[in-house]
Amino acid sequence: MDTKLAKYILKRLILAIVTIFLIITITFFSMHAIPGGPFLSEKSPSAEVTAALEAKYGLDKPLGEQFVEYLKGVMRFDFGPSIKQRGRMVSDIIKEGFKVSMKIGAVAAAIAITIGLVFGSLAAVFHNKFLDKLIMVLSTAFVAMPSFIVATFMLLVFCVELNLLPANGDTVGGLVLPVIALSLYPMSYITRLTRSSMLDVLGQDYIRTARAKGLKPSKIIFKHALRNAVTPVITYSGPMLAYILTGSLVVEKIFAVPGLGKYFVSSITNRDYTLIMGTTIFLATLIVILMLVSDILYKIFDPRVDLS
Amino acid sequence: MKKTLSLLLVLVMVLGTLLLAGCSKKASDLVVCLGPYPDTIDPALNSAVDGASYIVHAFAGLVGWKQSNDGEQLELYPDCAKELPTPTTLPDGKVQYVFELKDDLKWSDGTPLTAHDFVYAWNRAADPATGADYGYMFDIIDGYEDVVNGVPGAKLNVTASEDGKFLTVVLPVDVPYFYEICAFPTYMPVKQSVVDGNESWATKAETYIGNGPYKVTEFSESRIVMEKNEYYHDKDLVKVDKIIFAFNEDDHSILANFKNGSYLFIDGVPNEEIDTLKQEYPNEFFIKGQLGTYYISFNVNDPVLDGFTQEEKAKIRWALSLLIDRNYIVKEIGKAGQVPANAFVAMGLTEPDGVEFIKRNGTNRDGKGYFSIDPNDYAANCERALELFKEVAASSGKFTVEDNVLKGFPTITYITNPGTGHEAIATNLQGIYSQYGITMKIEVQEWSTFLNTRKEGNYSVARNGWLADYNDPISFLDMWTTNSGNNDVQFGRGEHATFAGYTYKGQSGKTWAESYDKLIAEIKATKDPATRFDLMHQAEDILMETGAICPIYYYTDIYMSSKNLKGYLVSPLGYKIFTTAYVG
Repeated sequence: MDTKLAKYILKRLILAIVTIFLIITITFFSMHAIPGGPFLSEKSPSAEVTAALEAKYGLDKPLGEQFVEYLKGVMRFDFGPSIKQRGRMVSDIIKEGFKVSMKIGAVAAAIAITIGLVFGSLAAVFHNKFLDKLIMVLSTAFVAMPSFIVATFMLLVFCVELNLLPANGDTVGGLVLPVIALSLYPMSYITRLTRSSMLDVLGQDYIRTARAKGLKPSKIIFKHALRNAVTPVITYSGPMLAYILTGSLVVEKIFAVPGLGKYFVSSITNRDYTLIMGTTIFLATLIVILMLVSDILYKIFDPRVDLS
Repeated sequence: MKKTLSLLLVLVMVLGTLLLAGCSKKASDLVVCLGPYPDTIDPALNSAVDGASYIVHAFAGLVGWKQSNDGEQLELYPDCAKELPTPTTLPDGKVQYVFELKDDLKWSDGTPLTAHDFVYAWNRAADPATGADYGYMFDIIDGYEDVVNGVPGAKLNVTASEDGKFLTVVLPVDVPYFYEICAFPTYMPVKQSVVDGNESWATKAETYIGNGPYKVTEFSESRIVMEKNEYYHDKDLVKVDKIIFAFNEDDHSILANFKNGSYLFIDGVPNEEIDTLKQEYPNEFFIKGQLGTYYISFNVNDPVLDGFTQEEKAKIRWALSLLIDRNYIVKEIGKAGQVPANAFVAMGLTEPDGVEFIKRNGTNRDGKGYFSIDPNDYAANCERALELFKEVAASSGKFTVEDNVLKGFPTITYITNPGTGHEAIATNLQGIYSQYGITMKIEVQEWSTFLNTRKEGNYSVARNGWLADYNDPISFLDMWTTNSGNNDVQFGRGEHATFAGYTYKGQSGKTWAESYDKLIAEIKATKDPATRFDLMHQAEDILMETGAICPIYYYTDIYMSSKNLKGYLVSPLGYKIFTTAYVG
């Protein structure tokens, strides 16, 4: 089995490199195709200055040449300097932002997965009872409500009206609300996933057998049922983790968290070419890795899964 | 599995407690918010107002701003210089300023600062290779042309005495705003040994060495922390030991932080909250005049109007401009005390005799502008617009005017960047024009695309705005010369280059280059202040005659400041200065 697994991982890694190469290519050429450039502002610098800046960042060379240069850099893990934030390296911007986003994201993901699994299981166990209905109403609401509404609402209630928590992520206390705001959507989604797959599992013969054997209900649910019901949650959690760890634009903006999330958007509006590439490659790599991990986790949770 | 789950739960609980434990708030620090994480705080590279505010705390130029003795206004005073020197005329007609520096000036790391540091900083900022947006601010200094054109070894005509006590600056022509320019962030000295060869010097507190009242002790993605600089020559001026400039890019979040007391000062509020805030915070909500104009620019080479003569095009632009109800826009959309505009050069600029520039604008120099903005005259403006349309209809035969409605008039497209106010103004114009049978499409373009479209002249009508760089009308006027990078209207380019319909000092039949460009060059070379201002009025006449610049309102600066915060300054360019601020 081990050689099979190793072979599988190797295959996936090769595929990952191809995927990332394609992403780099598509992003590189499409970002240069949108009009505008990094040196535009309401007040234009003189033509001489613009020319000097273009030469400095190699933007005066033919696009193909720029692409080859960039690929060479990527292979050395050199993502170049940010064009808009003068004097900062793309890798430093990503590193500093990711440190903050990852911290919040990891806590939010842990909360989302834990509570999601528990509530989902509870809803399934108490199928059609009051608790099930309550959980379903809440989880539907949080899945449907966009994060900017939830976050703005929390900002108004907890930071302005009640004045319980700071409204900016500058302090540790200021991270409570962003964590909650970030976790609500995946938590509700996982609750719903767990509930439906749990309902499916609870109707299976082996659960009836376990009950007939006289096992404790908690043991049945957590040991026998949940283990089998968790597969869709694993599928969802891979990409979810990638997104949640790299930060959310909305939540970071509303709670003034100095994370990575905002750069996915602002790098594009600023036409900060190197930062667009850097953030895209970073997110893509993270997604590819986490998807691979979740596929391997399938195998561990369900030995029947054939990876090849 | 069960074990893992319970472990996870415990982890979540522990983290939660930790987070809640950090909730206590400190109120003693002076925390203000002037905007998001800045692109740069390098004095040479910065071109933003928030960036400039940070820089004037960490750096000091030859000249600075301070409160005048009557406390009403701000005035310039010698900061690093001992006094403001009187310029002398050299035998070749050029003008020379000799600044004597104060004794024992030091950088924030304790090393001595000399006139050589100014020479280095100015040459660095002017050099195109540095890539400074505001490099052109040095165009008033002798030698700038050669520097910009890359003549090998070219330097600005700025020299330091051997002992570093004196800085000699030579200008081809004296400019009345030279002292003010010396207080501009781009003119601040920088320390060669930290700047040379270190592109990232201005991104880290350790290498960000200045000479201002404060020194940066922390610079992260979330804030700049500045503490009193013990080496500042005038350190007794500083009242607060520590200022925290928090970064925040969301208007609503900024306001929430002000409301709950986290920020004592905020620069700007959400547009839709202005009415409420004015009422709820009458003593903490401020509106101040700003040197800038919100306007609409027409493309003089707009292909949609192909077939009309240049004179007809100007009439059409004028008619479209007259139909705009500026008072409505200011009252119902702007809501921030903006002043309806009927000229391009904004209010707040004074002539040598102390009279405000706009008090003398308009073709009659009576301060009535180029059309009336009296709300009672709006109907008359609309009638005048219809007359103009009728004249064009008759001369061109390309459309007709029946019952005050135009038929067959080409569809125009208005471009703007996203923004509640910008889009509301566009919709307002669209509504007005449609009453006269004119179809105007609105195209909202993402910021960078929008800037590009406008700069390249690929548009018909565009939202536009301009904030002056310094206190002189030329800052509004020299941007419209043919080769200026900000000439969005495309004056003197393409088809417009050959149109000889302008008047230069009473001589008609001149092209843009022969009239406007020439006037601007003359203004820049004129020594006599009265003549200079007269020429600037003439330049504005030509500019407004084209109808291609359609002023809407003069900008205002909105900010909120806690009633406990006192002693801060707001410069005419909108810089917020907390050097003398205190919490009382």
